Amino acid sequence: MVLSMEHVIETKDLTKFFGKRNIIYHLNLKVPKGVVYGFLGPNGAGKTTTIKMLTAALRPTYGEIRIFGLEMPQKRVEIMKNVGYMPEVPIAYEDMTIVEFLTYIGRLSGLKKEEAIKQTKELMRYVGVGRLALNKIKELSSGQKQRVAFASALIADPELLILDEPTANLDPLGRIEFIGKIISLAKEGKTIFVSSHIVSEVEKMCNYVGLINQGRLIAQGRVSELTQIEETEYDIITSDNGKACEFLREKPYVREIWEEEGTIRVQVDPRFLDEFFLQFPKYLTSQGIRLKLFRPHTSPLERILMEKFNIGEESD
Amino acid sequence: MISVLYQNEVYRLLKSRRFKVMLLLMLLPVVIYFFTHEEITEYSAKALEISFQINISQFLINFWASVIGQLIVIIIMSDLLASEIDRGTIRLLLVKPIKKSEIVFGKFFSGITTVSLIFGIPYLVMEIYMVLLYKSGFEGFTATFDDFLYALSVTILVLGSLGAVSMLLSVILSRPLYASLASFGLVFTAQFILPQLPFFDNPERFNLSYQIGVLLKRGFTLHTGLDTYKGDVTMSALFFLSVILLSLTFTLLGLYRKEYEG
Repeated sequence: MVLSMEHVIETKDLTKFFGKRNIIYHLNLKVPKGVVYGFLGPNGAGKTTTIKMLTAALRPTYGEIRIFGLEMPQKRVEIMKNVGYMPEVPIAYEDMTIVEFLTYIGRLSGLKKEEAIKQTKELMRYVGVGRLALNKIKELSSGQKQRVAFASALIADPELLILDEPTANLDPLGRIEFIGKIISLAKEGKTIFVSSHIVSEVEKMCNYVGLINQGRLIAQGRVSELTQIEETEYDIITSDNGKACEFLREKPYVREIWEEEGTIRVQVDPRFLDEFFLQFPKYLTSQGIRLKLFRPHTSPLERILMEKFNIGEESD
Repeated sequence: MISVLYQNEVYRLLKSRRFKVMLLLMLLPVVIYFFTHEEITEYSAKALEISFQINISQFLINFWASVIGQLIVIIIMSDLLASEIDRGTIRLLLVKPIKKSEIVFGKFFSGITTVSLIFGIPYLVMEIYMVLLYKSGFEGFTATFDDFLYALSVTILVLGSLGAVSMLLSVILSRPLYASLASFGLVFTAQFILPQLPFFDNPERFNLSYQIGVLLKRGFTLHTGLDTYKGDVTMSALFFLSVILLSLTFTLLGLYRKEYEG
């Protein structure tokens, strides 16, 4: 199959009604080849419904879906030769052992028996369930099931991975490990479409993002492009917070300043950011005060979310 | 791809406890025959064949293809697709390069294979036991083997149509239990309740067991008792074949139309 297209996933006016309820509204997704696309939105925003339409579990009420330039669901069989999918809640044949399940999924993906067995062995090690190979899936914890589901998505070495809330059942260490794996898969050139409501994870994994709320796509693009809004609130720790606060309080461009658990939080008038960045370090140097920490108060993606979703608190 | 699905499904079914219980249940007539069989007066392949045709058709009409046999087929066949839909595993199949027609036919044939084993093993055990009883050796076995195959084919044709209807209902209802209950309701209404209406002549011909008798008549020529089953063998066979094909077509359409929210 020749995968020559600008966008691996492209939807046009994708709309879904359940009865009279409008769940997805004129969604125009564009997922370029080779990116890790974070599909970010609060719970109930329509992420899973969109993914179910992308994987042919649901039919769009109207609109078009193209994956690898082929129309879904008409060309489902061709498309699915190159797609790996991991659902939000791991689904598997509970009475099968991990080996049986992965080999079966491998064979359904078009692999020969020997290939499927080889891939199964490698993937069990890769996702960390090698020692549980002969355990039945119903005997696994939800985190282990999630790992098996991830292995099943990777079994045929697909060009495109669609992952729905992939870290939902993983423990903190498992999450870190998973994010590392996504980054390394992206380096291999795979296109990864990952839905999540956890901003920090999306920030770590994704270089492209689509923000969805109430079934509408609010923003879409490269994270670096979307987050080019200047930050005005900073967290600062110095070797002498008292003196630093005193200096900042006198400045007219400082709108608000307070100290919380040894960290100064300062809000600067955006029109005078240049002055703030010139004067504050100069003052610290002149007074022999060491700057221990200086960072924007919120992450760039969180700011975008708060701005686009009109919320005052971070969404996760 | 259909072969992968078929092999996996057959393996899963044969491994299940349900299969073993059903097989034991179907072996019951053989046990009954073991204790109650007629006294053997003539030890020949011909006598064996006559006795085999009489016994197998009696057990088939009165037990194997009666309520209990129909129950078994409905339970097996309505679970094939409905359990995938119910547990959400159908979504695993939809994200694989496998056609929906392959899913339907792979499942149907795996179900039919299981049904063939559940019914075929008891028929074969009965045949072997009778061959030993009539001391007719390999000659007796080959003489009755055609009858064994014919009885099995008739069973698969009639009960396969019932299975195909169950599969169709299972796609519509999405739950194995509901599909089984609906199949029972439909099949028993069609067999026992509707024919009681005054404008139906000869109500017993709507019974699946009766139709088995009609179909067996063509192959079991040595068993004259089957002449009481009136009906056109070709028409009956065509009817059951049409039911299978139509049910599978509508099952496929149902699978195309269905959405999987779970």
